Amino acid sequence: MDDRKRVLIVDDDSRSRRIFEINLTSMGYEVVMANNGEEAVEILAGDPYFDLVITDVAMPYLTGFELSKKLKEYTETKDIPIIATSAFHDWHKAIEEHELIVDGFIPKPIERDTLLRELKKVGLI
Amino acid sequence: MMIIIISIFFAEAGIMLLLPFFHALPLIGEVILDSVILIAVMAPMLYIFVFRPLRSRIHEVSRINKDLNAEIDEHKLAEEALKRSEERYRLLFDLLPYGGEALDREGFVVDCSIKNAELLGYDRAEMIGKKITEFLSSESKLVFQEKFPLLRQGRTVQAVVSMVRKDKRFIDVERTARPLFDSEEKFSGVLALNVDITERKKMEEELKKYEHIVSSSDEHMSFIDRNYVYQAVNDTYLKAHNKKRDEIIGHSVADLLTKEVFEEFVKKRLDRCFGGETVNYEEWFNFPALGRRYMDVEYYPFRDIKGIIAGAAVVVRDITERKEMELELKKANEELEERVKERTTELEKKTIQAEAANRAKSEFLANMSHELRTPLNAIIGFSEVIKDGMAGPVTDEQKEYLKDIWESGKHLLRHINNVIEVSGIDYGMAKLAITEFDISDLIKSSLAVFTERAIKHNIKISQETEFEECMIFADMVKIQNVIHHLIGNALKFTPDGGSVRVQARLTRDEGRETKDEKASIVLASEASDRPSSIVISVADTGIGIAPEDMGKLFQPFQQLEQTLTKRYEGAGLGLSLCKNFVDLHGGRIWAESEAGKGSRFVFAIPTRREKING
Repeated sequence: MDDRKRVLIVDDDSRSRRIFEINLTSMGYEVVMANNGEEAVEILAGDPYFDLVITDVAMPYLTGFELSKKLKEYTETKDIPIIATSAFHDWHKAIEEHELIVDGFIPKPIERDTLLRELKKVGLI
Repeated sequence: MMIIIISIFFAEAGIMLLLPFFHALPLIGEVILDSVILIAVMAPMLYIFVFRPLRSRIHEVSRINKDLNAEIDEHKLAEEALKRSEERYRLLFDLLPYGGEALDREGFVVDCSIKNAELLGYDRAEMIGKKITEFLSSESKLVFQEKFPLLRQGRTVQAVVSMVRKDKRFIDVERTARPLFDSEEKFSGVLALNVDITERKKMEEELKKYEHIVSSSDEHMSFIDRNYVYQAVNDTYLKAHNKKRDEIIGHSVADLLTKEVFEEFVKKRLDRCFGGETVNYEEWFNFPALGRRYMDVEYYPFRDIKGIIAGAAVVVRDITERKEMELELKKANEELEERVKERTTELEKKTIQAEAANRAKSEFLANMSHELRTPLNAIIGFSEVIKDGMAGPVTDEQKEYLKDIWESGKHLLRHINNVIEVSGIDYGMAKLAITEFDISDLIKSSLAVFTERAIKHNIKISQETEFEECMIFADMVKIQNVIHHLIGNALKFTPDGGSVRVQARLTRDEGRETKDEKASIVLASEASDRPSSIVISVADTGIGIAPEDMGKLFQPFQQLEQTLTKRYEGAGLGLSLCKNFVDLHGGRIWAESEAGKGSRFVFAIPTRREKING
């Protein structure tokens, strides 16, 4: 099996998914993408072996908050680090209000420096 | 019964002849020779003997005797009565509460009562024999001289005189003198009664003062008896009611004030006063001479000597002006209150409007921010990956343009962020998102961002930190923003060929207490040997800041000098935002500068040992 680190990108915005994908792939990560939280849950249910989940905060059907809560509930997924991402300027407020337990945050627009810093923080570099 | 014997004798011898006869007379009855009438006619003498029966004679004598004795007894009784009477009068004389004295016709004291002597401070004996003028003041002596002749004429005289006591004190005496006449109707002296009126006079004078006070007072004063009838009023009262004294005194209150007013305002209150209570009230009254006036009325119960309430002393004060002022004031107050109310309502309305506007603005900002960031995400994200060759090979020219796109995008993002942050902070929305990070690393990466720009302008940028690695707990994004602003500013205002130096050091005293409650708890628990603050400074060799501009530095939308605004880009939000970020951390930021030689911007924030949130 491939020893590349696996990252699940969850974002309803295709451009964001793509930017994460290009950056992460070029850094040598295996990237799997989901259009929304429900899709992510489906993927993780069949394959929980991810080293990182990067999720947008505001998505239809299942928000990033709900997704992260779900992930922390299951033994298989509770140890996967989560990095939230959002284009909302008051994301920190939202994180506090929803008692969202995340390990990092990448504000949008996505910049590689920030991505690298957060990856380092969660121990993927 | 009388027996007359007529005999004629020629000689004396004839008498002798008759003697035995005479002796025998008792035998014929008890007679007595009453008288012998001798008529001598030459020799023979005619004797007429008149006899009266003896019994009737004795009877007569005894009657006379009896009468005489009775008279003597009567006299004795009268004398005793007189004596007793005199004693009684003497006693009365001495017991009288007035001084009594008797003078002779020349005015010398012949007698005086004990009371009179006491009045003047003498013994009775000392006074007797002295002339009355000795006891009179020099003025009163004149009065005496004037009045004494009147007494001689029989007239009773009354006068108030000033008498001199033995101790030289003067006393006022009311003297009533009556002339005395002897049995021959001749003036024999004077009886005088003296009443000491010193106290009375003093009281009268006191009373006069009170009278003066009462009559000259502006207050309407009256005395009303228990039948609601006026007994006394002062002049002010008369004037107010346009009446003469006798038109009020003896008349009832109801008559004067009308029955309605009496029943409505006066009667019940007077009754309370008659019950012993001092009653006070204020009311509008109509006065014939004054019109409608607002009066302060007081009823004082008046007790007589025996302590029984005899009526009410009434004092009425005109307080119309005060009342009118009060009413005016009240009106003004009400108007003011009304206006304040209106204003408050207006303000409340405006506040609600403002709050709604603010909410709308916040929502708008949040949406706008999101809407602006989303396309910027594509611009920045894609230009970065393409320029770095991650999406296939690019030519140098393409790379240069892509870099321009990427940098412009980032520039635009910074402006958007600034605007959002300033708006957010102004409405208290800003909060810290504390994470742990290496400050040394942050400075390094911040400098890296500006390296290219520095090289382009031939500006030397350097980092001088006292440590290799230093993990701190802070809002990394905000601290990075501050450092970026400061470095960006330094580069902006430093001419080509200059230098920018970033320094960092740990200290124990530069920090200030944080505004963040949770953070301050952490601070308090810190061991004292640990550095309490980290101080970061950015120094340049730029145009510097004039002392008068120092104060404006950290205010929003301030960029020094209009010329600079044109020469140097920026909205002037940077430094005020930096200050807000540093303040949020409980730190402080300041600038040191010499115009023309460069500036140094310094900020210090407390270090934290633990992650606070999450």
